[in-house]
Amino acid sequence: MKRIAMLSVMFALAVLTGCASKPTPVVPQSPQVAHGCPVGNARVGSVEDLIAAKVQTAGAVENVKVNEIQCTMQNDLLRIDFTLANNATTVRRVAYRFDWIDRNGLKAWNDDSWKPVYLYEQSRQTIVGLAPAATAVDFRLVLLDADKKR
Amino acid sequence: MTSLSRSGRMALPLLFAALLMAGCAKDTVRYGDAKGVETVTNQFGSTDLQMIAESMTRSLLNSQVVTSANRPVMTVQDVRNKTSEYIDTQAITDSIRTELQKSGRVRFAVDSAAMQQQVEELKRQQSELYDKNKAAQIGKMVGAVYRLEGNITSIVKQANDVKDVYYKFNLQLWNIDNGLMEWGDEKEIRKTTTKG
Repeated sequence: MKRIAMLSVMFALAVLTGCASKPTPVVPQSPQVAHGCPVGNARVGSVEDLIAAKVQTAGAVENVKVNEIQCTMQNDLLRIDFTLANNATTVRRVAYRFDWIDRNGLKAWNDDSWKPVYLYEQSRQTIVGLAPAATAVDFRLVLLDADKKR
Repeated sequence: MTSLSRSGRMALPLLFAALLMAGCAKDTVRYGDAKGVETVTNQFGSTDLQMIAESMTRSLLNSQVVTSANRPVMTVQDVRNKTSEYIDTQAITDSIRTELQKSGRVRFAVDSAAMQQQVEELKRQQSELYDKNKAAQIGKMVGAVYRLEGNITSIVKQANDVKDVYYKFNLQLWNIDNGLMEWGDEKEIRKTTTKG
């Protein structure tokens, strides 16, 4: 009798375990992207917002603006295409570099070199940048006025 | 004659003071941005070296030969300097190798320049001083599958007050086994100096 009672308790336990609802798997939040570029929690509704979030200047850079920016993954490296526009009526020389950021928001790579760009008057130029490693998942584009004497 | 000698006498102390001041002028030393755009002269400079190394590295890392293989083993051969100026081409290849190595996607076998040191160390470990079980063994070195080699050329033109220098750096990756070129890329740089 005692054995039957024990068996029924064990059976009930087994049934209960089987019916227990499985814990909902935690779905990792996919990083927010705009025009293919990672934007984290920033509110990006337009290309202008994206440019404001990604482009910085080292000092004033007059008459030269980034007016398009787009990202894509090339193999497992982040590729950034951006367009520089010279609105001045003279030739302008600027320099740019990327600051690479890792998944934790920390610096992912050594400083890039400044890359000089020659822009004809009233012209645009598309430039392509490629991340140095797969750990560089985000970026800031920094512009510098190379015509200015320092 | 008298007035001339008088003015000369007056100018002498001024000249002496000016010389003294020039002699006492202190040179100012400041740290600068190692990655900054350097335009002191139009000869090959640090910005050129950094741009070339960065451009070549990124291009090679994105090539099929690197993305499709599991950390291919490479070796670096000389970059020939075909310009008219002295350029330390090893500084360029060292930068390229360091960047590639840091990416973790490529491995480098000992190159011909470092071979003697490698062999000497191997031989040293074969001496009785070392534990035979832990010493590096002869005959276990890994040979490279690919070799990197390149050229740097320049075209220099000068007319009146303008000097124009055009550099072209070319790098290629060759399969040692079958002699096929697996990847190649080049970087062009133009620098113009205008007097005045």
